[in-house]
Amino acid sequence: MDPVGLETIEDWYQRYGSSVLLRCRQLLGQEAQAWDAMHQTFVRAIRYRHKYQGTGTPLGWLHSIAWRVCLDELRRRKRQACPGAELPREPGAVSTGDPESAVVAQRTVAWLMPRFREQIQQMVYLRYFDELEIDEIAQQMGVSVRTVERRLGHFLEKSRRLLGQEDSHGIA
Amino acid sequence: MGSPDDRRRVSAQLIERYVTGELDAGGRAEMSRLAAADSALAARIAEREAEHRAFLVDARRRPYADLLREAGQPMRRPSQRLLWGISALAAASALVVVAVMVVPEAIEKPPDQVRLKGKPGVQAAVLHQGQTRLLTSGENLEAGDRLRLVVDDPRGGFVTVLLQDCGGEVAVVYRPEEIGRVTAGRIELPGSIELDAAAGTERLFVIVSDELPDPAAWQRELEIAFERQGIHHDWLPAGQDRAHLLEWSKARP
Repeated sequence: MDPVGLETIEDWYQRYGSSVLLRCRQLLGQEAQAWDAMHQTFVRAIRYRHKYQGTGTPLGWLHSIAWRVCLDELRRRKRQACPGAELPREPGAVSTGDPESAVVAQRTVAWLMPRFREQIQQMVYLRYFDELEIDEIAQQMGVSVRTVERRLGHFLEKSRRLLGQEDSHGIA
Repeated sequence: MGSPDDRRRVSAQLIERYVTGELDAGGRAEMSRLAAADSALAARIAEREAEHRAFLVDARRRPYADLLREAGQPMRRPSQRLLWGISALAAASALVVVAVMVVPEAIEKPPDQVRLKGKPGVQAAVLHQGQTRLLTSGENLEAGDRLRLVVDDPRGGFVTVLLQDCGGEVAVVYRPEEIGRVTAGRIELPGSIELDAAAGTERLFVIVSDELPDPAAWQRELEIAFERQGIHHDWLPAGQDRAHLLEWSKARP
């Protein structure tokens, strides 16, 4: 594959910028920081464009950069208090129900993610933000369905402990 | 490319791939079918499409040149022209965004800001540093400004928009087949035109045609007209095509 040029990245900025911004907004919650993260994603894409191999989609590649940019920010915030929300009752439940609760639940998930290792983070991201089914996550990540179920179960179990709110929030 | 499956919820990832044009033809058709049968899904897609369009004219979005600078990349050469066709948003809202970098030249005020052939009215809204205003005669624009066009034609037809820079190069900003035949009345063209880089006089031709035209022929005619008469040539399309000309001088910010 030919190396990605600056014009291509500029095209992607127009075409995928809104999608990248949406993901940054979901992960960071704060509008100004989401815009900063979106811009930073494209700055990194310009710098590291030679690393795009064309094996995945441009959107997937940009989302992976945005993910790392946002994780850096979330790690920086790690010591801050949880945004005071509840976890979704089950993976995939984020986008159902009323939108406000969904946003709150996503922010809680985003707050929790830096506390887990990268493979679990990726699964959580695909489940709670991309809203993929378990088998779709397994397929994208090249692992078994059982592995995804086990890792997401671990995420929920440890998250309950971290939040210390099992009773008050009734986390499933 | 995967296609959606009726038996499961359509994921956010799939919606994004649809809205940004990453799904293949089969996937797009399947999503359109699902959206037609599911008003909640259709609303979700419409919301994301609207957000995409709003993003392109949002004042918080930094010009690409800024990002290049921050990334430590050299600026592109003057006179370089970039053209993107973005089929991502939806079939009915194909979007083309253009950034133009022109050879620096002395800024000259156009003697005739707007000329008409026939009666298509065109309004251009300028987004400049977060403020929106209508483009007025003799106005100077700056790199990074964005233009959104509203075309008002009593007959309707195919809309083509061509941009000629001060070096005479012509780009097709909106292709007629992308927008399709529009009905009589006002239509806001999707997306926006982003002006970039160096100073110079630029001209935008908005042409409405009864039949599907060939923009390549107009491109050649415009370039020949430029060679003969310079930027202020008197070219207009032949036949029944109705034309509206916008002209501005562009300065560095």
